Amino acid sequence: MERRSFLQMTALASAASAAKGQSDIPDYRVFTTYPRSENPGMPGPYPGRVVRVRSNRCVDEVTETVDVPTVQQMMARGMSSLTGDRDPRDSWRRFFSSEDTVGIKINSSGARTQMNSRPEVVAEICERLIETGVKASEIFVHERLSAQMAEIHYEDYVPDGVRIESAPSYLGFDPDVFVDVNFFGEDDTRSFMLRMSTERFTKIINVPNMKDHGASGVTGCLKNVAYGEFNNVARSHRHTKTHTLSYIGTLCDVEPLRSKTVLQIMDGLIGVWHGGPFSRNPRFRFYPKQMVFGTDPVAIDRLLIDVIDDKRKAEGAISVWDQSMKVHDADGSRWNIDPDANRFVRETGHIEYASRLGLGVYDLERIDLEEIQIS
Amino acid sequence: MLPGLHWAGGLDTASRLSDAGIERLVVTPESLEAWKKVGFSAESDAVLVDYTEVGPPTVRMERSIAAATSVPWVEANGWHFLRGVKFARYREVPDGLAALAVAEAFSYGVDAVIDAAPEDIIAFGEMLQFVRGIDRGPEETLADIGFVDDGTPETLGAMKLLERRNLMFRVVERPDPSLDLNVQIGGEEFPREEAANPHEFATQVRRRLTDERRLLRIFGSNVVLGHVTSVGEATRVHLLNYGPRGTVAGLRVRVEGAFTSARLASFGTDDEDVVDLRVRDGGTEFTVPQIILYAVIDLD
Repeated sequence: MERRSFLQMTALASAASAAKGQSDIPDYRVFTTYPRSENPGMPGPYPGRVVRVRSNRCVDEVTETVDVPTVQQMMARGMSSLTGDRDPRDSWRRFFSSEDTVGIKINSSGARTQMNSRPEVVAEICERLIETGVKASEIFVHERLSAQMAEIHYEDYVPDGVRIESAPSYLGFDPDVFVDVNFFGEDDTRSFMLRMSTERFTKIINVPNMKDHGASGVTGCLKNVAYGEFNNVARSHRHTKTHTLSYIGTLCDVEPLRSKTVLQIMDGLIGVWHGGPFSRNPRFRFYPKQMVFGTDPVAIDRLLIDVIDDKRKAEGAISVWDQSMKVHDADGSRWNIDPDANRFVRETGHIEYASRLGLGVYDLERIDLEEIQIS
Repeated sequence: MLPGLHWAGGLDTASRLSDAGIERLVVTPESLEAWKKVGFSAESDAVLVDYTEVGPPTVRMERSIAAATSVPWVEANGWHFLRGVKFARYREVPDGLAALAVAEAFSYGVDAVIDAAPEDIIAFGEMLQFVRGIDRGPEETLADIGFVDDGTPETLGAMKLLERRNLMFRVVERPDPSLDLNVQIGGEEFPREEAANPHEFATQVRRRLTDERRLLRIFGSNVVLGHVTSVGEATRVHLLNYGPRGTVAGLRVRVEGAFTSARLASFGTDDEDVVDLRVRDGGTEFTVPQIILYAVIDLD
């Protein structure tokens, strides 16, 4: 029997500060054996800095085929611009070394619609890590659930030796790192963090997509890494009024997730402007044709709000900020076809909430955005 | 006494039953002697008048009921046994549920007779084989709630819900000050009208007890129900998987009290150890790697 010393830390102080004036924030109890870092990966060394690289050639809108050489160019420009290095290899070396075991947190919640972290993008990240000295066997493309990820067949794209893993049972979760909260009277009040992320990975790269989300308004960096690294999270949005506002940031704030997540690469080749994250309705798919780089998940997600909202405006749909239940669709049948229907009270404010936990910069005035266009 | 099989089949089925490891039968008076002659411990079904009928243990996926909480509606019989039923007849148990019925009855120390489907005989026998391997002494039900049972429909409904929510209670004649919480429907603390909604009532009970003081908590499944007994110096946790989807791929359990060792017996597996045992905040936590139908954990 192994008995580790148990350190109970609580994020109550920071959560309480974030929740000032908000009486409906649940009582979160955070348990972890990992201490806070003085230099956490989120927001990391580049708070408020975002590099957006666009290219019209990166994906074919008809076939949805990804142009790999273009993705490679976008990756190189994005990384070197983020760090200010001339050679992108130096940029990668700022984050990773041969000593690292790296988890690549993909998004596979739109597996059947191509609306996932595109395998070509993930493969390119793997190649660059290997070039930096990380062993292929120490790279883990991972997701909490296996079924959706299996449909994408990342193994057909990534270099030999790279591992594709999920947590098929409860043993895949760390019994000492969890958040205990009772949202709606559910008996199972705990969300445990993936054990591979706490015990094996030294670093995590977050690779979200650009998606609308019925409950959280949009889903980008914060939600991808929060709800993807912990189990038992769907309970936060089982009712019209959800707790996504505070839960997403609270989970991101848990150590060691906050410290280990050192790089955000948003795959915005294809996006979902309504019905996300799972929407299979091709009407709601669009093609931002961009990749976004940074270490600050809040700043990237703040810009994501505008990407999704601008598209919704262009389509004549209600805003991601519209929390009205004028067109409320509890069972999702109308929401799947009507962009003016809300399934939940949208909590687009979860990104600002996360900023109040210190996870990044929300204020547009303070976000340093560099735009790069590749012809 | 281990659960018996209520059997209407002819003597030509004897070898099938004995191959399955079934020894105890309840049969018609006319066939009683014949079954005894071929080596079974047989009783006449006339004894069943002394047995309380209970339903098959299962999960009902009735949306109108379950959707209110998004939790499946578990049909468990523990509340009958906690009310003092010692002899139970599981009536018309559908194919696939006999083994769970055996486990449930065994876990509560009930003398049970089970109407199993002929297709379920092998599973019935497999569970008998499993429970034969579990040390069985006098077990005392442990609880943190004393429930005053007045026999009214509200009381019965409330007990069902407490069982479903893994809120450990025992039936008491009057409030027992040694327990953390006493529940008497109709009193000032628990008005009868509140008990008309069993879901809300169970929530109230949980709130007043608080999760921190609960004897047992289960994380990772809402179809696994547990109860806790003392066996001599040891504390025993019984876990029953009522779910229709088969094996639960692990769950985390918390039991009040500090224990340093745990022995696991889990039906259908070779698992002998729980995983990640921790003692924290007045409780012991561990992970059971998998639960097919029934697991027993002895804590010292």
